[in-house]
Amino acid sequence: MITPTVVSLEPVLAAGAIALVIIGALAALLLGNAIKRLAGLLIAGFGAIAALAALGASDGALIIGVAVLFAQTAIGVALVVRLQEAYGAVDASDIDAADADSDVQDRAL
Amino acid sequence: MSAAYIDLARAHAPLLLIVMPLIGAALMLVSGPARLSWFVAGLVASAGAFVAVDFALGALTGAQPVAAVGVMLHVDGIGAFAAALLAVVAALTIWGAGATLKDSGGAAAPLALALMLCVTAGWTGALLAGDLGSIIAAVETAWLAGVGLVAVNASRDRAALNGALRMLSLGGVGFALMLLGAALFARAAGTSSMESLALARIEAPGLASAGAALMILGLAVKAGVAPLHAWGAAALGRSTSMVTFGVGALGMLGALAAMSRVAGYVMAAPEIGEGIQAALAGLGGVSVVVGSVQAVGARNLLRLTAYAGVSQAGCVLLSLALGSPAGFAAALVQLVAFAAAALALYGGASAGRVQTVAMLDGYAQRAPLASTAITAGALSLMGAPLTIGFLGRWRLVEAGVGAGWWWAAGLIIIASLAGVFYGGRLIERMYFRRANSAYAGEGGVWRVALGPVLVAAIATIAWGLAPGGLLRAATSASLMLGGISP
Repeated sequence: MITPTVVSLEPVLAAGAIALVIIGALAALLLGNAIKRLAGLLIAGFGAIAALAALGASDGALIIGVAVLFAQTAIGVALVVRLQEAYGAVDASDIDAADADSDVQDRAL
Repeated sequence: MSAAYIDLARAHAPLLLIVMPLIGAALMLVSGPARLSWFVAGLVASAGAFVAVDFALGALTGAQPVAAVGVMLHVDGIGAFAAALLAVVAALTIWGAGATLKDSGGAAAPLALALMLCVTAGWTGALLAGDLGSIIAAVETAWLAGVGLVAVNASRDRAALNGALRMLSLGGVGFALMLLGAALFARAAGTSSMESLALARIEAPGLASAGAALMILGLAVKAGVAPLHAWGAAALGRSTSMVTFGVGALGMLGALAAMSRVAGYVMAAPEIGEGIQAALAGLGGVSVVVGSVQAVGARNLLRLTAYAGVSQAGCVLLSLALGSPAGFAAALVQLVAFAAAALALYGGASAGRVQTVAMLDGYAQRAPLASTAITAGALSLMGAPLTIGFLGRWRLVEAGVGAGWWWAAGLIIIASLAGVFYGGRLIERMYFRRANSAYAGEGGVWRVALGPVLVAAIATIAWGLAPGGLLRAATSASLMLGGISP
């Protein structure tokens, strides 16, 4: 007779959540487009919240995570809009090049 | 009757320390003109500093009982010491920012002051929070307020938006790491409450080590520790005094203090202590070297100060890595040294609206008091004898050699030699070169706003000459890592 084995989903869920954090963090750090960076932050944040849930954290901790992620997204979207208005671009390479030009002009004064 | 209220306020001082700046921030939004907002913010921050110092003195000497103020707060030695330091620095920075209020734009100044108060409340909350989740919430409150403070500066210079975006990206990753770390650590320790953590039995040391390392890494991002400091130069390089004070001095100090507190708890567990020590020592060593090299090459004074802060943060991490009460006491002394030097340098530079090193030429003739402040800050960053910077590094060398960490002593010497180079360059330009531009700072009565900067400059020397009280307070705080009993 085969006895059923008890399998816990917890390690699988936790591993998936950690993978989300890693993918999101890499996207937020390495991608040039500000909107993609913001998406990366959201993925990393949701991954961390999923890890909290998978590891049995309290409701309070989950609410803190969601609230902070919401605040980050709101500020991030506002920044992206202002970047587009100020630079006419949301790509890090364009923005850095514009700032470098300003630095050169400042030094020349 | 009033004595009863004072006793009640003293018993609930930790809560007041968090609530007062938040009430002050709310007042900023209705207080109208920039000058009035500044005055109100200064009063609120001064009251907070008074309460914090009184609370820390009472708590560290055991004279004042600490009330149990609910499940959210937990007072320990590092928290009490650093909260008082943070409150004093907040008061000095807000009063010091008075002369250059209009740099932020008249309408934006109250908002910038409100965000500075939110930064103070957030980091104070992180120092007094009762569980890991609350620490993360408080850290993010402070960090996002810092991002906002940098972004407000965009009305003057659009580069501030780039700095704010970098802060948001790196800080957001730091948040995810901290949250993940807290989840792993709490699972391994069976609790996330600071009160229970000190005595917790770690059931899965590998999980706990990973969690603690992630939390410390997340905080290291916020503290601007190399190589995680990419936001610093972008956020501070072309900023106003509000931003340099609020993010460069207050923010970095708060993050380093919060990291010291978290390290104190996680290193108390013998199962994971050695791994965390190695991680802190590695980060600290890299930060000392990278910060020193970047400061030597910097042409922008604000960036130079930020990089010097990265090097100083490395010294704090090396002190923490020792894991002993002597190491934690050395870290607290270094926090005081960092705060005083940052205030003196940023304040001295912002008084004359100096941004590049070249603008310092002949500065001593144009602004002798501001130059004195910069000199004191530079000497402290070098670790010159008779300054608080020397005292902090000496305590680290003493504790490091005692533990057989000769390499740490070598790194401190490298940091000091680099400090002689970049600090000496500032002094040479101020005193031995001809002025190439007129004084751009405020004149008349607003020169009074230089007062807090001079207080910081005097403190760097005074505590170097008579460090007894400071050393006793740091030692007491380091012996109360697990908490102060009610």
